[in-house]
Amino acid sequence: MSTLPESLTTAALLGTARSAPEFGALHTAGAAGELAGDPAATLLAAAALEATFLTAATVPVVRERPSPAPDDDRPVLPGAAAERLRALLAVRSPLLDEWFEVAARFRASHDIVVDLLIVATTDSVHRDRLIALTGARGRWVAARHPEWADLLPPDPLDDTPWHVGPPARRRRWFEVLRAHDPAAATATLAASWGAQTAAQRAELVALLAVGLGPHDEDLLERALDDRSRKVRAVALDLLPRLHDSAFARRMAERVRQWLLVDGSTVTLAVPERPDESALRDGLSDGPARDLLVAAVAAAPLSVWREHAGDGVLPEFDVDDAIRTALTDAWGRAAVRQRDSGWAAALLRRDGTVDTSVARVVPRDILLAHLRETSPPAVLDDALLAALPAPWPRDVAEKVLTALYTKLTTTRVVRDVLTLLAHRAPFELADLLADAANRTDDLGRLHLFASAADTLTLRKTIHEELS
Amino acid sequence: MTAPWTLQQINAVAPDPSSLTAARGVASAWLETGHDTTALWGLCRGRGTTPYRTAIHPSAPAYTCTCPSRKLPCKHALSLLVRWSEGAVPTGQAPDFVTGWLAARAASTAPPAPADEPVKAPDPATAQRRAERVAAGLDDLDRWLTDRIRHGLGAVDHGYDTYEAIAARMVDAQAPGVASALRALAAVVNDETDWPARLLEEYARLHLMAVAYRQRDELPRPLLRSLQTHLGFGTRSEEVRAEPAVRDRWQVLAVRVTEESRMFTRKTWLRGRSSGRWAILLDFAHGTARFAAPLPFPGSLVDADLHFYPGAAPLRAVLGRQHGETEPFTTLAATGLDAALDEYARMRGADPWLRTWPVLLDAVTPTDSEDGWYVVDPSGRALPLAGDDDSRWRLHAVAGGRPVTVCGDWDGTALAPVSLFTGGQVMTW
Repeated sequence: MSTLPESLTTAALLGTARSAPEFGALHTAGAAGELAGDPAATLLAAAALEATFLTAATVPVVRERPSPAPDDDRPVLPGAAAERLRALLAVRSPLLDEWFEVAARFRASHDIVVDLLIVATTDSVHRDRLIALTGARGRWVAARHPEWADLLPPDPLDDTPWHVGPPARRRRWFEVLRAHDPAAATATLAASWGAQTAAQRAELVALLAVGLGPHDEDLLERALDDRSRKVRAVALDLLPRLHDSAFARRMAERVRQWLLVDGSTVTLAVPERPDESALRDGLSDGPARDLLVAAVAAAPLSVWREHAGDGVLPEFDVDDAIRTALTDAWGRAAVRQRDSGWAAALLRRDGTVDTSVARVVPRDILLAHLRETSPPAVLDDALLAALPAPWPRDVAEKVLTALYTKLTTTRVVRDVLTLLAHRAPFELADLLADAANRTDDLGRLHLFASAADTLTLRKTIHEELS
Repeated sequence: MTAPWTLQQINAVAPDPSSLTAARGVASAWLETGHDTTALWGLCRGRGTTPYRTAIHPSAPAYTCTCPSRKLPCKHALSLLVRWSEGAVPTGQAPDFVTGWLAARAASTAPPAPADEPVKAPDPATAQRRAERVAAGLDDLDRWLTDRIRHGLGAVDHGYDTYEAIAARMVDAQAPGVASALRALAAVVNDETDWPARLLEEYARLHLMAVAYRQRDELPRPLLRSLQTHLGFGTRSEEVRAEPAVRDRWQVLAVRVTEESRMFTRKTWLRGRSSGRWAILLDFAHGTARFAAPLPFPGSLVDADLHFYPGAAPLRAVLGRQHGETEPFTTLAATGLDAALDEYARMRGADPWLRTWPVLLDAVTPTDSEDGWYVVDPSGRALPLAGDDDSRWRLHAVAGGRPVTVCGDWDGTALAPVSLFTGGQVMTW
């Protein structure tokens, strides 16, 4: 509707005592001309006529139709599962990761897309998975909304955010580019290296952990010479993960010089003061043993091949302190180089390893170890933490049996029960509830019962998403 | 018996979202369930030794359960409905507790026998006194309006107190409809950049009421009834029920509950499937959003008599006799933009004080154009879309740039959407 014409509003604003209204230009001029009497009443009557005409005479305008949202072939998320998601999001449940994983084959129904986008604006942890759940429709809507457009992953081929965006958006774009084309990301960062602040350099170099490869070596070497200790620390964390690099060769050479091996006897020859090059590679002043551990942990494990004999691990005649130090360093090297052979060998030799090392052990070897180990020893929370879900039923039952037959600390009970609740097969819920009923210890009763509840809830989640 | 309810229908009757979650928790606790042509029932294992006995009369709908929950329907009833919707409730012979309950319900809800004596007509002397008070009040109002126009809207005071004073005078004159229109005007001046035009339009509308009421004896009766309604005269429900019944298969297009100072109003948009006629049902509840009459949910259809409030453009109605069960509808005959605008013009012509009229637009696409929101029809013709941003984005997300059917209120300027239909799905907000 067009609003009342100015000829009427002006007369009304000025007052009919001072200005006489003019009706000639109205749509309803004919009828208004018939009005007579008090000018104020006449003006109101003419306004009533014209307003009625205008509202009733509205005609459509011409606008373009939007391009339709693309289709999303995934099945619609069941209503019960959508309600569940709402409840889990409200309490920021630790089960959300699992929920999103199981729900990946669904798309949200269109009527909850806006709700999910609103949650995504404040929940950066689950943002990308929420957006994925909203699917094609969510991306289509978000792209049209000024506050939601940032929720979408940026286009890696359009580097505008890199040049003009605020730090968070630059970082996001860089992450996407890194996932899309790792070498291009390295080149982009190298090109603008000098223009970044130390904090930005540290933050961006850390993002190279994804897609790390030979193309990163030059930039990481450059980062070793950085003024900022933070940047150097990040580079020192990443460089040992590269196989066959100059850094690896330098470390291998140092290990050969610092640890003189003759048969099974070993002599330490760590220098009093590390040289310039060693300092640059992160080997700062300290006790000889610390320096050795740092060098071994950063050197390629292939250094030891000539001393290993038939096995993977070399056997040295050394005192316990050195032996522990070497084991520790080898473990760290196995993790950095993702060497499953070494990780498995360490587990075989020692019967246990750190969680980080156990994560590198192949699943079947880890499982075989847990199956063979004596029942009480199965409560090794470091190893169990490294065994991803789903746990086979026999292993889960062995762990549970050990839990309620063996006296162990409440911390271990709590940690292992948390693992059971999140990784055991659902049928174990009844056994856990039984265990809760049988124990006399109130604290443990609670732990068993809440593990049973978690397991039951997970079962419901999976059923709702089936 | 009606077809099993959809999850959407069950959602609509749940007292709160947590009830549905709780209902899923008892899904495995059913010992036996059954249904016949009238009712659904089941025994549900609870905490005690005796199972809870749950029964539902879906077409009413009415629920009973022996559990101690004060929610209605309780989680057991909801769970039973869900099982029924999944086809997991077999047919059977209703047990005694069900037949007994149904019989008791039938006895208590049977319509009261029609009174022998005719409805008492209001005292003509009282009506006459009221008409005179209103007329005197409107004369004062008209003097006030013309005085202000004479001095100029730019020169007079538009504070809340000024409008409150004249509104209070209208309350005294028993014209509350006029009073509430006046109370809204101070905000128009404060909030709107284009206030002179809007204010003049409102003044003109009130002036037209005063002028028309002065000639009330010559007005056609339906127009006088419309005017009286706008002024704030109540209409006695016996009088509405005495209006001729309009039978149709009424499609429920939208339901909206609003609250103002603990008074809950439920507005239901109905459209006759065969006549295309609009009707609005209003229900009121004080304190809680629990309404006495059961809620027909959007997307359903009921074969019933409606009695319209008398007026020149009758819209508000009450539900009379129901001729069949409520059932979901799958097809919906909507109109194009022209038919909707024509209907609005016709109604506005019949009742010049009318502000909005419902529309049901076929195949329109919501769009966020550079100069605001619109719904666009397949040939590219568009009407502005009103409403808050949140609901417009929801509309946009559900439509996804494709044509949908939109139900809403048209006020001559913009469309305020209340529900949307697409692919057999209904969405309201």
